[in-house]
Formats: sequence, C-alpha cells, structure tokens
Amino acid sequence: MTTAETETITPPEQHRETTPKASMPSVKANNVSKWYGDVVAVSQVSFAVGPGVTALLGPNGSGKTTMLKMLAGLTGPSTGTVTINDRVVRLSSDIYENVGMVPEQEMIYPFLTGYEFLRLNAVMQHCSDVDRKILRALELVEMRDAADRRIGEYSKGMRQRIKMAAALVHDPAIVFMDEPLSGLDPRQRVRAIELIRDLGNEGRVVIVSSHLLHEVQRFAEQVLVIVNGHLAASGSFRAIRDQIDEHARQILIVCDAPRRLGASLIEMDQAISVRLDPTRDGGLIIESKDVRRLYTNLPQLAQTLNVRLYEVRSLDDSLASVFSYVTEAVR
Amino acid sequence: MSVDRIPVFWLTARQFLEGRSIRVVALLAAVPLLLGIIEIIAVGTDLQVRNMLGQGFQDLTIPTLLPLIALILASSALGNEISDRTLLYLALKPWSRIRIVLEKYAATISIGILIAIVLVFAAWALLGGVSSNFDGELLLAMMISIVLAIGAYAAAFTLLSLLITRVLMAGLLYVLIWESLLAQFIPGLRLLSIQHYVTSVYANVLADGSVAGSQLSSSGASVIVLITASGVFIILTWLRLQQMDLD
Repeated sequence: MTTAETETITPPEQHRETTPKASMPSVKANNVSKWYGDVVAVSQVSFAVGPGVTALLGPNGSGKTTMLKMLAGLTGPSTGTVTINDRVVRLSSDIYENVGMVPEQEMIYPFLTGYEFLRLNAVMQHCSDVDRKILRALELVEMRDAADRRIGEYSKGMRQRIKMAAALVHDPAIVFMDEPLSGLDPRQRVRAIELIRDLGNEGRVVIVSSHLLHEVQRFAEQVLVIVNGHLAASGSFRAIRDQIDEHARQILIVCDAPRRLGASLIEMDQAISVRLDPTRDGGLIIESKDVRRLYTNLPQLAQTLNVRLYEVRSLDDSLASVFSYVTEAVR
Repeated sequence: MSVDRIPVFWLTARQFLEGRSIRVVALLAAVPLLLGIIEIIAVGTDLQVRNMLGQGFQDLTIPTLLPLIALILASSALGNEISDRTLLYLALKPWSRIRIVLEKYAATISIGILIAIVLVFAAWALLGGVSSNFDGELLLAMMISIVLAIGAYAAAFTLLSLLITRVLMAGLLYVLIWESLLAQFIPGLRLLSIQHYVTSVYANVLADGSVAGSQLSSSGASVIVLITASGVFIILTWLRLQQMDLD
C-alpha cells in the first residue's frame, strides 16, 4: 500500500482528518522543531489532536518524550508553536487549569502521603470541594486504601497510579501521559487501559506516549508515529496496523520436524521463504506476509503433520522494525 | 493563613524539615551556643558577653555560618527539585512562576531565620544568664543581622541554583573565598560583598565602636542595598525559571 492509497495514514505535512472543531479541546503543533546544540530531537512536526485517545508512538530516543514535553509546555520549541485550545503554551500558566500530565519520571515527593500529594495538586489547580475530588481521583486509580501512606513507601506501580490520580484530580479536558502503564502489574494495566479509554470516550483530549505497539492498540484510536524526530505517519491505528501487516515479517518456529513443517508452509503458500536456524536445534525461520493467517493456521497444520511445536515468536516485532516499515511506506 | 493558600511554602518547609539538610543547618546555627558552653567551661562566670558572643558573631557567624545556612537551604529549595525533576509537578499548574519562587524563598528564609534566631538567642541567654549580663543591644543587632544576611544570601543562592548544577560547591567557594577572604581584605571588593553590608548594620546597631567604623556603610544604605539586591536576585530567579526547560 502506498501513501497515496492510504486513506487514514497521512504524510506529516498534512493535518489529520480528526482536526478538532474550534469549540472542542485541542492540542496543536505547528511546524515544531527542537534541538539541543547540534542534536535535533524533533524536526518540523505539525499535527492537530482533538478529543479521544491519541498515541504518540516511537522507538526509544525517537523524540516522542521531547514532543510530549513541548505539548505540555515543559520545554519550549526551538522553532514553531504549540497551542492548547488555541492558546500558545508557556505564555500563561492559566492554561494548566485544563491540563493534567502523568510524567514518565518516578520521583515524587517521598515525604508526602498520597493524600497530601493529591491535595497539593488539587489546591494548586484551584479546585473547589477538594476532599471530594481527591476521593474521586483515588477511587479512579484504586488507591484509597494507600492514601495515608507516604509515597516513599509506595511500589513503582503505586507511584504510577498516584501520578495518574494527581493528573486527573481537577478533571482536566486535556491529559498527557508519558508511558503510563510502566511499572503496573497485569491487573493494574487492565484497569489503567480502561481508565484511559474512558477518558477518551468522555470527550477529553488524551495524548499517550508509548514505545509498546501492542499496548497502544488497546486504548488508542489514533496514532502519531515519531521516528528520528520526524512525524513519520499519523492516522487511525487500524490503518497503521494494516500497513505493518502487509510487510513480510520473520517468525521463528522451534519444533521437532522443522524440514517437514517448512516444506508444508511453502507448499501451502503460508510463507514466502523458509530456512533452518543454524543457532537453534529444530529452529525454522520463516518469512510471511500474512502473519495473522499463519498464526491461525499453524496449530492445525502442526497437528495434521504430527509436528510438535516448542516455540513460535516474531523475530522483528520490535517497535523499531515496525516503525521502519511505516517510515518506508510514507517516504 | 491557611496552608492551602501557600501550598508551595508548605511543601518546601516540609522538604526542609523531613530532609537531612535541616540537621546540618541546626548544627551550624548551634556553633555560637557550643562555643559559649566551651567558654563557660574554660573561663567560668566571669566573662564579657559582648566580647565573646559579639565578636564571635562578627568574625564567624556573619561571614561564614549565616551564608552556609542560607546556601544549604536555598540550594535545595529549587535546585534539588530541578535535579530530581519534581519541579514539574509545580510547573504544570495554573500557578505563576513568580509565586512559586516567592513561596520557595519565603520558606527558605523562614526556616533559616527561625533556626538561627533560636540557637543564637539560646547562646545569648546562656551567656547572659551565667554572667548576669543580658545585653539587649547585642541581641537586637544579632537578630537584625540574621534576618538581613539570610534574606540576601538565600536570594543569591536560589538564583545560583538555577544557573549551575554544582551549586553547593560554587556556593562554598563563594562563601569561603569571596565573602570570608577577598572581600575582607581587598577594600574595593568590600562593596560587592553581602557580608560588608550586614556587618555595617550590625556595627551601627551596636554603636559601641567595637567594629572598625571607618570602613562601614551607613545602616540605612546597607539595608537598602541588601533588600534591593535580594529583590533583584529574586526577579532574576523568576526570569530564569520562566525560560528554563524542565527536562
């Protein structure tokens, strides 16, 4: 699929089709660049984000955290402008009445209790009915029982959740989250994903930075893909995913009869190439353009051939390789 | 005033009171008291409070102890929050940066002045009680000097903490080399020293000629210089914080 054929993946110079209406909360980056000395962290990025959950995706070091910090006004762009609800950030602190942020860093004032930390945030956000809002925020992240404990005693997951509560205590219309699922256990992840989805469904602008593609697809409808500081693609998650799926991907299969299985996969047009893995006994590296179909059919095929499968995993499902597909596609 | 009206002040005061730096500050502020106890043990009750405590205040407390107290507190008020990145929890609020700076500064000088005044007062009361000589003029001079010195030094070091990362080292060099050495012995530099103006106020309040009078500025001019300098440092701190990237 080429860029021209893609309806929902747009090249970086175009705004997304979800460009918000004037009355909706919005976050816009207009030709934004950021460099540190000779190092360019973000280069000429433009987009507009409206209500719903948008993922800021990119491999580590791609510039997505810098982008998120510029959106939140923590860092000023070297060139270009960032606006929140059509007001330029960093010019006025009033803008933060509508903004909440979950930063990536773990450090929170260790001497405060969770309740005191939320109270600090609520008071500084000029909240009325502070206690009720704190209680609501604690319940959102299931931290009510730990509210009177010092943050210094919290686990990583608890610190992550109290940061979320602090970002939401004043009921903001715009929420930035930097790797929000980091440190959460599986059950907490499920709850956090539900929470992020709910925030988007309530009409808030939620921008979530992540480097984990499989994680993002569970809550984001829209994605902005940042690669090497450039906006490589933007649009619906499904379109990006479909584009990724069209590229041949390498799968490692470890089984007790690799030659027999490999021959059948080629014969049945499930793979475009097959080779034995010299580093693994019973290892078979196959290249497939339809990985989903392969994963669906493989167990049945193995059973028919009486082949025992020990391991099946993607060799190039890392975000870096996935992004390289997308980057190539939009060039 | 409700804690909710000054949350950054409250937060900063909690940071100080729960941290290790407060113990170092208390130890520094207790030096005059410790010296007083040693003096009592060595000399007995026949001691001159103004000679002992007053001279020590002029030679040690003003040039070294008060700047160090201010340095330890001011360097952690904003500087530590920048280095551990907790400052962004305050920066992402509809709270003006000047208000953040002012509340941080107010907490710094409140804690510093409170500790210094309590322990210097304890030294004065101990020596006065032992010698039956409660020198009210000396007490007033010391209290005013503590307020002015910590106020000016804290403003300077708060600004410094936003300009460089190794603020404690730089501040120590400033205190020990500039304030305690160069400004003491090189006449031209004296006018660029906070210590000079604090000493001038101290000497003028004492008004007994015990401090070399010819090199002093007037009390009024000294107070104006110290307050103006503090104000300028605070404004520069605010401007710097406005421009800073909180990475």
